[in-house]
Amino acid sequence: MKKSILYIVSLIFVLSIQQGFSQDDNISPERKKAIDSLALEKVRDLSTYISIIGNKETPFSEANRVMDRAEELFVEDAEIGVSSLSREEINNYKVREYFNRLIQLSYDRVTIRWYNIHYISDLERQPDGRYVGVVTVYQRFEGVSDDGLNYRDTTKKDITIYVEKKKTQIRGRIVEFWDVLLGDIRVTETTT
Amino acid sequence: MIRNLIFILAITFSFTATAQMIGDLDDVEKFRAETKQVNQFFRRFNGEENEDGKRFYPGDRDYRNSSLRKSFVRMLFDHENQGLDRQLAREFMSEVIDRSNPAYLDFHQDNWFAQVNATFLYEGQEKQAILFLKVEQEKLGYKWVISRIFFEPFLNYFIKDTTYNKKFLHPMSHELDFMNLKKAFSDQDSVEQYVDKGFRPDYLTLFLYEIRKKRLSFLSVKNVKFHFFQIDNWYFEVSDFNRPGMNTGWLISNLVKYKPEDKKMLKDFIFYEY
Amino acid sequence: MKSNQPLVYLIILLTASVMIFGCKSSKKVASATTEPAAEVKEAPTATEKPAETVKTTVPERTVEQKLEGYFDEIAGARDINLANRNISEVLSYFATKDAPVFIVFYREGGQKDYDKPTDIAKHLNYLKDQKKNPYKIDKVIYNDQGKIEELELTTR
Repeated sequence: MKKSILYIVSLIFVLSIQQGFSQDDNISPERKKAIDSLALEKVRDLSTYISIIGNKETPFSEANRVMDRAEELFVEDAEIGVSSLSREEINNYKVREYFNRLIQLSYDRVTIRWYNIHYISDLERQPDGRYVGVVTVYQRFEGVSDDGLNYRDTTKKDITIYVEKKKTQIRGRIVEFWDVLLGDIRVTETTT
Repeated sequence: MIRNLIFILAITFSFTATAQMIGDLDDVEKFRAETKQVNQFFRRFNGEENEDGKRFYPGDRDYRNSSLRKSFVRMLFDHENQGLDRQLAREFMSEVIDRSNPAYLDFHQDNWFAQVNATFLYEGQEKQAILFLKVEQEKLGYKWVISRIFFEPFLNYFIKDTTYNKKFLHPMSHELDFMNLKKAFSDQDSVEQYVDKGFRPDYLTLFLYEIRKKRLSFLSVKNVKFHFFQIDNWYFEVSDFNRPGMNTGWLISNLVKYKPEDKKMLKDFIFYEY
Repeated sequence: MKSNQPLVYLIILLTASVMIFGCKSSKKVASATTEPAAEVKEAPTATEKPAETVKTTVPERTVEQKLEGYFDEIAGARDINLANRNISEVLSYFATKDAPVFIVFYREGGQKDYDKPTDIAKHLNYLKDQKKNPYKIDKVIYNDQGKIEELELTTR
């Protein structure tokens, strides 16, 4: 996969990656708050990337670079499930597929605004030791074309967050870090 | 309209491509009031967060504060549901918030489960299946597991004929090496009449079998709700409401006070096993 | 918003939104004052490195200030070309564009919690794309040639 190659190239200084969990990887309330902020920041970063991808003025090569960066925010095989008020069924897209769809829509101007409200769930531990949580945000998407076409919706986004403590060796030194990655996203159109 | 003016000005202020904050107060208030996640339903019910969703932990002054819970639990009911008995709801509220013996919900404990209505493709046709899932502990954490399934296409195969001319294997069949089994199995429509009276079809086993045989495949989730039996002698259902107004999100959509002896009947009813 | 609310309110709201937008990235998750006297073993610190690789003559403060300035300019650039020019200039300070960048997002009991390590080229593009610089420079490590080979940032 292209994503994996890019990752390997960019982290060429990484000699090896180790990961492992111990029973005592407990997350204190204060640390949880810091992780919440980190997760929320990544959600906001994603919004900005989506704005860039969805903007017609963004050169193709630049959009591709940004798509790679945006994809790095996610775990592998994350999906985006979209439903609207007008139809009952949910359309599921792979992350890259979702971005490519956005490019094809090609608005002249895409504005993604997020409401000053969000909700962050508890972090629950799954059988493999990884933590999982859900961040809920509300966004207004506006796509405007020069010929006056205008699309606008307000959606609730429930975003899966995976949190994992990992170790990596950089320049001969073991560095521990928190890997905070986005997972599946459920997008629901809301009535406001 | 001022709303339109805000929109125009906001566009002017923004770059060509931006992601930024929006302060539409009515909408923000609506979203703040909404019970946005099932996780928030638990925390509000238990009084484990404030009005803005800030988490309280054991030891915090307002953790499980009863007056906070009082206001939260009241707003956790679907106010547009005429079928919800207000008197019953009041009785439920006073019982769970009772200062001497308060009752809380626990994500990791039994006695609550999810009901997922999903669409499957079965023999070329879209069919609804009802999946029941529960949280199960494994190794370092927890996971949701499918505990039961109700699938209508299977139902017709197991309706037992209870009329007088019921078919059976006579009590001396054993003397003839059960040679009459040939007759019993020859009529596919009545074969279920020859089984033990305690027989209950296991739809989940059948369902998995059909999936393994590639005759059944998943399409999508239609809706989700939750059933709670964690409060003694009370059952309630929690559903998601996506509608205008402040009373939205995950709310109590059904409430029943039951006698201990009726619990099984109530569960059978939920599991479509009545 | 109700249509009978005064225009003044609208202006206040817009100003507030702009201000909030302007400082949204300055969220503080950890106080810099909690920086421990003794460094944890795995933290990338200059003191850990063999003494000969640390060039003490480099005017560290000045470069830090310069970098901070560049970072803010890249994040604030309205023009992609200008941002890209600044990125090239910043990269010239570094030994390699793959030079690791560590981001501390939380400190507890003398321990630093890091976000996933990135590299300088990626980090500069992050500033450009996201139009925000939510970090400040905590530590710069140089090689013998006076080029930066490691950077540690912390959330503001």
